[in-house]
Amino acid sequence: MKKLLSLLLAAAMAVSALTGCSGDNNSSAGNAGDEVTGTVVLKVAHNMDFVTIPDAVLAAGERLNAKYASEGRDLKIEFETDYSSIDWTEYHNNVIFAQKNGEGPDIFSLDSDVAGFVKANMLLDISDMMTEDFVDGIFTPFMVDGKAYGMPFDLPVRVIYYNKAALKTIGWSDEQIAALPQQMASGEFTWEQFLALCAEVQSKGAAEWGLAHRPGAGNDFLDVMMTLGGEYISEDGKLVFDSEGLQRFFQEIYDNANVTKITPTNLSQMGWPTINKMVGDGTAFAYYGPIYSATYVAGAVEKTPEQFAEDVGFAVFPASQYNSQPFCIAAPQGMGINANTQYPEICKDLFRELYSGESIGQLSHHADTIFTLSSVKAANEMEDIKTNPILKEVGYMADLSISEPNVEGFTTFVTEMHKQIVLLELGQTTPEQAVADLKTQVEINLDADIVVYK
Amino acid sequence: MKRNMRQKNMQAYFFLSPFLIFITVLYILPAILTVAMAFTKLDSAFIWEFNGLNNFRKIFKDPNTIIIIKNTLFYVLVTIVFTVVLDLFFAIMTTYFIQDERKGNLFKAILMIPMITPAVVYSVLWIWLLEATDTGLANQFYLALGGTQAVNWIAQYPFTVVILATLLTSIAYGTTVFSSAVKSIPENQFRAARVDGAGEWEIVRNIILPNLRFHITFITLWETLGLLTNYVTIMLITNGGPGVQTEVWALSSYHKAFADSQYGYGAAISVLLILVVMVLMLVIAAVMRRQEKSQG
Repeated sequence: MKKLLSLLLAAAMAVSALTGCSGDNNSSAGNAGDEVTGTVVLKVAHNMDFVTIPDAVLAAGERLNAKYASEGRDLKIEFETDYSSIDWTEYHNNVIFAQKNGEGPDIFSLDSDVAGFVKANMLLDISDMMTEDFVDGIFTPFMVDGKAYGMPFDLPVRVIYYNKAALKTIGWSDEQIAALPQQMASGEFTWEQFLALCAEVQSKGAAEWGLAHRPGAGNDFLDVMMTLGGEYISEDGKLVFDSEGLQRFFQEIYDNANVTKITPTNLSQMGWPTINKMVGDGTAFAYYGPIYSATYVAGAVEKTPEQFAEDVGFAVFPASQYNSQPFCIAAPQGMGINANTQYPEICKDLFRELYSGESIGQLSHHADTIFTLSSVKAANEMEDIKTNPILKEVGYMADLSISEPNVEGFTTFVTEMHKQIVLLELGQTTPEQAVADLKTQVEINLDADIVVYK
Repeated sequence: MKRNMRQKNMQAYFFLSPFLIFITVLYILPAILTVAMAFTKLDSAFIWEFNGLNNFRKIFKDPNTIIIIKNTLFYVLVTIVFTVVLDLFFAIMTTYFIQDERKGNLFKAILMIPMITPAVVYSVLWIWLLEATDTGLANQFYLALGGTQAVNWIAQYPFTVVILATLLTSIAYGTTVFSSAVKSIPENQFRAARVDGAGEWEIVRNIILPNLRFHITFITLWETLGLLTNYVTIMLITNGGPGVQTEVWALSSYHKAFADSQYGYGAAISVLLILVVMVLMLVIAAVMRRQEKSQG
């Protein structure tokens, strides 16, 4: 069946190649420069189960319609939505195929492969939207060759979760627990101390496991590598293969599972629900991942945000003996405008309405829903965010956040790296062998000119 | 007479043509495109950029290729041997030894359950059964029998698990084919053997197995074809891991294309598989021809 699907895919690609990949939209529109009138239907595509991002666009559309009506302008925006909850690679392919069939969305959520969409000529350059309204540097993940191709809708940082109750069990006072995030952010409490804390909590029986992570491939692991002084993106935006940094990171992954045993060896064989529950109910003392995972973690143990914030604290990645700068990585979600849309200006108006119009509240509502800060400064000042029990504790992280640029070959690197992580945790390879094997795969799968070897 | 024959042939071609067109459009054309794609750098942008033999060079340069070939051979050979032996065992038991057809059919129907269960459900059952915690069913048995701590069965014995899982889904088809073949052996052969004083094992060895030799060859080749191209069970249970420990050729093509968005590279891996499959299909055709000749 899969084989048949892949063959069908091939056929579809060939047909689209032969037909010239036209990307015209379906609604009536005048020539370039003419004012659009009448009813305009915009297609909006989104992936994943929280739909507050596309809903914000739809709400902005309603406000614009009201504005057009009040100005006496003959223009009404309607939407066709296409929401899915599938693997991001599959979603990416669906959007490109839809475009090749002439049915591409006008506005769509972006995966991490922004460069792929740009190469496929599917994204409009929206560099003119990089205004002071946004948090500094938040456009970085959507930049390709110095141009912005996506609008960031939030500022979800990747952080360390830790269980406050476990700290209390081992004798920490409320003041000590409350002070921990700031100590980690200031460099006073280091990564080495944090790992020792994980081991202590576990050895004293306050948690079954000291430290957990996601079950599959993901960028969270790179945060630990960076904490250990590893580099993976060069200053000029290329993928870096840092042998020393990787060696340290792999050694730590191996040690955590097989020496100090603070991480279960079979963590990668567990599913998300199991891991979310482990973090939510305190079976695992600490966890590293995006802050918006808190929605899933809280859901797994049926806790309200208030209850969850009582039990779980958040901290940035602290300094270590290899990296003196505490940090957290911002991985914003965003939407792009199809370069082939018939209505680029209307799509841009929708985005402007969201970040500088009356619809900013939609962005703060989105941020509040998925427990993340907003990409827009004004939204971060709104009640939704200021009163969110989780977000009000992590506002300071915006100042420590770093945005990663879009790097070619990154997905392959992360996927291959995760294979080694699984083997290391199972004790089926050594850190040295893991570095050598990862290097071989990177050399084979990625062109030499896109990787810097250190 | 000749004209009638030709007319009859024309009618047959007419009825067959929709299927031929269907197969050409849905299989042969995409297969040709896959071959073309194998010489491109097609990635997530879906732009056809030809890169000559680079993808094939990559395959032969990759140290994992040897591991994946070994995995594929091991997976296919072990599974096929057990499949054919069990097929024969169940077919002979349910058709020759159990004379009550209803009871034999009931047993064969039970064997079909894994085959007709959707792959996702079936694989989830295996994952649940072999869960690496104290609550996993296999571990509950293991701990009750004196085991000291839960075993991570899938990570420690990945190939055993995928072979067992595949085996259970494979045996129903061969058993059904062999059962029909056993039934078609003329009863007088068995009677003559018994009159000559042959025991049951001698009947199996000297009458049943020789009568089934073409069926055995056919099932062996057919199942080999299926095992070479079908990777769903492996993908759902181990996804080729840990590392590349259970990665087989077809799954590696899928991973390169659909997980890593290297569609050109994935197509190149597929092309090599298509070549092997084509050779096997020719062998199957030759076996069928020989069978027809020997029967004719």
